Amino acid sequence: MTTDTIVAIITPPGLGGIAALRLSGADSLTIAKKIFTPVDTPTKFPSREGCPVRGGVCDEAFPPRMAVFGTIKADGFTDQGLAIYFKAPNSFTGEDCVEFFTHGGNTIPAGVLQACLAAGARLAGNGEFSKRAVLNGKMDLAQAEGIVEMIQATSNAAVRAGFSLLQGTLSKRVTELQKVLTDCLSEIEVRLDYPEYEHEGAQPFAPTSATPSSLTACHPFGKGELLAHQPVREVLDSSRSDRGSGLKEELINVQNALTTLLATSKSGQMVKNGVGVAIVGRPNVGKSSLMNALLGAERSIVTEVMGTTRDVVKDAYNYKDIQFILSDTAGIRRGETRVEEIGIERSYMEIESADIVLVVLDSSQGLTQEDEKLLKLVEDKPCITVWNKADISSDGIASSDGAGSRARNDNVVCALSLRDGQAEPANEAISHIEVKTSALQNVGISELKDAVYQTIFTGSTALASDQIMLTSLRHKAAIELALNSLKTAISMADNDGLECVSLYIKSAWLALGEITGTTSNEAVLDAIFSKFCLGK
Amino acid sequence: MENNFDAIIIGSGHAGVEAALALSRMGHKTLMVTLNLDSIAFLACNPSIGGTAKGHLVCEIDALGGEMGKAADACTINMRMLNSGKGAAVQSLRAQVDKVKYHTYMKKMLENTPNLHIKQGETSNILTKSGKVVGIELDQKLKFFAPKVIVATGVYLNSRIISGKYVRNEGPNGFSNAALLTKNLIKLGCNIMRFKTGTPARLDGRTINLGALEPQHGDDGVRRFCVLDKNPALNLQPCYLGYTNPETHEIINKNLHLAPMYSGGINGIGARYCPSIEDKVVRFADKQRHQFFLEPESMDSNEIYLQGISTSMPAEIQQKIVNSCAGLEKAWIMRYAYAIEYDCIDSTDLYPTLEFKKVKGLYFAGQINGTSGYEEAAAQGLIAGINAALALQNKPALIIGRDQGYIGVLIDDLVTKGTNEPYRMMTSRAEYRLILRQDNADERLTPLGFAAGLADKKRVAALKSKLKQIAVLESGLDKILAPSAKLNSFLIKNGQPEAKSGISVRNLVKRPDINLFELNKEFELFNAAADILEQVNTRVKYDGYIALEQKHIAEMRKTENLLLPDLDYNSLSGLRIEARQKLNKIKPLNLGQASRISGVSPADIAVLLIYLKTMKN
Repeated sequence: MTTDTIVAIITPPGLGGIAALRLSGADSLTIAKKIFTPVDTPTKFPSREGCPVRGGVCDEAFPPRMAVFGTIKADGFTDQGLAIYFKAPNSFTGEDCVEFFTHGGNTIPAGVLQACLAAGARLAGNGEFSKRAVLNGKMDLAQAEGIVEMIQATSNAAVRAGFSLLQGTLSKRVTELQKVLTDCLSEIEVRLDYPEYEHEGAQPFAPTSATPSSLTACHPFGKGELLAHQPVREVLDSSRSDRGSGLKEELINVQNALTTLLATSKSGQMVKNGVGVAIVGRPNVGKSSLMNALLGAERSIVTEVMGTTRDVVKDAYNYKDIQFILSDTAGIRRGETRVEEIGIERSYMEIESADIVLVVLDSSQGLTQEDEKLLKLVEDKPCITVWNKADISSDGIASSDGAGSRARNDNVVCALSLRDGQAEPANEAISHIEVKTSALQNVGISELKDAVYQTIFTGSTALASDQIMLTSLRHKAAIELALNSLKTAISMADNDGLECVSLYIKSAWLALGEITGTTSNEAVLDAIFSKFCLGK
Repeated sequence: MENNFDAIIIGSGHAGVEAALALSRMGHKTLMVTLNLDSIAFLACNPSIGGTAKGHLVCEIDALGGEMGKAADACTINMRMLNSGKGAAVQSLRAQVDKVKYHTYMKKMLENTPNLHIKQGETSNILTKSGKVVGIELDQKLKFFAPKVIVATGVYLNSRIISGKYVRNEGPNGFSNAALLTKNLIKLGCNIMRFKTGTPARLDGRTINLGALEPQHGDDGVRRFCVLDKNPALNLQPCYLGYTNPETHEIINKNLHLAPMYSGGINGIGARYCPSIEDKVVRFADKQRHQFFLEPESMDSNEIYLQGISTSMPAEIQQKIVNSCAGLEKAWIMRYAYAIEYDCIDSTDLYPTLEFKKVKGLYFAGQINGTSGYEEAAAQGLIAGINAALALQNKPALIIGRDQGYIGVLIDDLVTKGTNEPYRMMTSRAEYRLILRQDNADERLTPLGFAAGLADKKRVAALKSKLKQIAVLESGLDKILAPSAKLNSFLIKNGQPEAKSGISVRNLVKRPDINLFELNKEFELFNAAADILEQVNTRVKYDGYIALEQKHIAEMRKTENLLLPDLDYNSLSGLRIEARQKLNKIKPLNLGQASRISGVSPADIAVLLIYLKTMKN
């Protein structure tokens, strides 16, 4: 199986000044030479490293990493442009690559592509350049995923998350946790493989040095278990009570770290894919006006007729580097037509799938029974109560009983925080903020945007610049797997044999290896021999 | 003179002995050539066989029909079950053995085995013809011919003994070394490496103050290595435990410049798990003391092996070190400690049958492959011998999987990963440790040994009877014990909560501190032998964990069953360059083996997988 040479247009289709094509594979240069003629064949190039030496001479037409100006011949026309040759392994894919920069538009790049195909290249499949880069060891899987995420990012925060992945911050963190597990394993394994030795040198669980002369110093499995001269029964009895306790603490630390990492997954998903915001409420409370006000554009049709919005209308705005995807939904009431009923069903579905719900209320009418029903429905979701039409309400906000009476004069009524992920009891996590707005007069809109942002991200450390965020479902799955194995190991630590506990720690280690791509037993052996004093 | 044989073995150490016995027992006319007949099965270092993971190896050798287990049983001075407080999977037998008796036992066994011929002499050349081995030539210019040759030269190739500035080109214990063969091996394509090991001093037992030391008795009533021998292991004499002290360490530190390891007198690579006392003192400077064990060398000798104080210091410093320890103040050194350097080969040049990739019919086994330890050597000798015999019979090779035995782990590690230090078996090297136990070695391997033609019918019959007894016992595990005062007092005695309702035997045994053997003794539930009870006890306790391991094994077997043809990996340009080189060198038999080669990444495996798929289409 030899890898063939592939080609693709790597700029998006459409009108533009310049388009780029990339050839990758062993025949890249040969193919490029068939269709590209340098205008000024440079006579002398400075000899430098990486220069393809053929018979002692630099390839004169295409010195690596040099932009060469020339003509590109396609079937039916000739264009002018640049070509750059990247010699393997110093290219994106790790193979020989040539990139062409032609004039843009639809016709010229397509024609050049055809010419490359005719000259012996094959059309690249989806993601094939990146795949080759991974296969050739130019980057690991997580890094490749980082690039994809950066390209697909819809907000600055998503670009940052992708770049963090590309730079390997997640891999680094996971490697650190693997190292702790390796230490735990080496502690266990040395006890299984060297029962006749004291292990005084070993104290990864107690960094402060224990009395070196003490027979029972510094191992996590209780006193004296490892002393060869002690009768077995005595060893067991004395160690039984606290066997595995130090080890257990260390495992719990890793468990906590993984739980923290996993908790960023929800924020990570929102940063990557945008925050889903559902606007719901009774008909005619001004949901569509609110949608338009948030977008700053006339997106949803606004009329005074109840039930104007039938299907869900979606559009997005960016706030503080995050993308928020709004869903304007049909007003919820007993539907008058089948079409409206379907629209209302969809409203419920939007509530279900949204990350946050804006329940829009009419300030001029106060809290109705239907409103209360709706609020009840969303009570276990992040939610903001929006008192709209504040402009036509007598005192700026309904002054009846219930929610309205708690209102203060500023627009944001009460604050709350939602921490990363789950793990918080519902009543603590979910308390509703209230915001008053006038969508028509554009009052309270920026406060609402801020409240939405705060509701989702306050208390979340996920957006801090140095914080690792899980944006990939593959990574999430690996960490969940590791976490499960670790939980089992921890639950076993008190009663089961070390050889069984070891099995589950290894499973956790391997699951983490899915992220970093490491799978070696040697790590444990290396740790054993660097820490323990053994031998004949 | 008769000079045509089916197979020739060079060397009569623990690898050579097993190889020779396997071949001749499998019906092949076999010649064993050795430097010195008095060094047959010589225990050159510690007078013990077994230990963690090594005990497993001995039981596996026994299960396949090898000799080491029987020999060790016959020569036991005391026997211990290491890790007896831990789970069955990590329990290992360790026998203190009589080294004089062991040599005599094996020599007698070899001499009385039909088809086996023994000759003293130094091999100078391995004879080959068009890529195949055809025989050997001795230094005396004698030639012997055979289509199979097994090289089992141990640590004798170009070996050098070092104690301080005292350096001599000789083998262990004053035996002469083999100075001729390395040159020939290089010509045949072997990559020669230089490893180092060492052995501590031997003391005169009469000069040791045993009262200042802690006796370490053997375990009473513990089983033997050989599964067919139901007698408890012999327990004739204890070992003793003692400690070095700050004075010892001061002597060592003051004289470090005299230690060849630090003054540059030794170039060979030593094992991390086998550091000399000077290494220990330097690397673990905080430790106030190190353990040593005194082990009897023979019932017919006063010599005592000083385990834990291996050194290459000059003789007079050794004397000071020894005398600084409590109990050894007046100890007389009979033989000084020394380090030994020797040539070995790169084991990744071998197939899993231990046949050399570059010469057909030539096998390598034992310490020449870079391992350390009698047990590791014997296991390889056995596998090389069996495979040479199977090849002579045109039968499929015997390759033991990593899920089938420690022997499989050992050989797979050697031929797939290679080793850059003397390789010692450890339980942590085995991925499927809970399944690879001493107590089920016969279940795992006797059928394979029988199919190969080495393990005899008696073994198979014993295995069948054992499995039947296990099945009968297991069928009774759901028997319910009604709550009673007797049951509750038994539970409380074992640190368990009282039973409020009836509880099955199985669920009782699943509790951490309940043992089926003890339970049966108390309640007389089954009429079964102790080893059967232990076996079932282990099965119940490991039940869920073994299921998890079986799942991993099934995964592993999937890639293990994807066979790779003999191909030029340079033609697969999707592979990274390092992977291509490694794959071309190792020539893995299947995708699983390929994935274990260091330098072959998961991405490379994906490329191979795609290649295998396109090949199929």
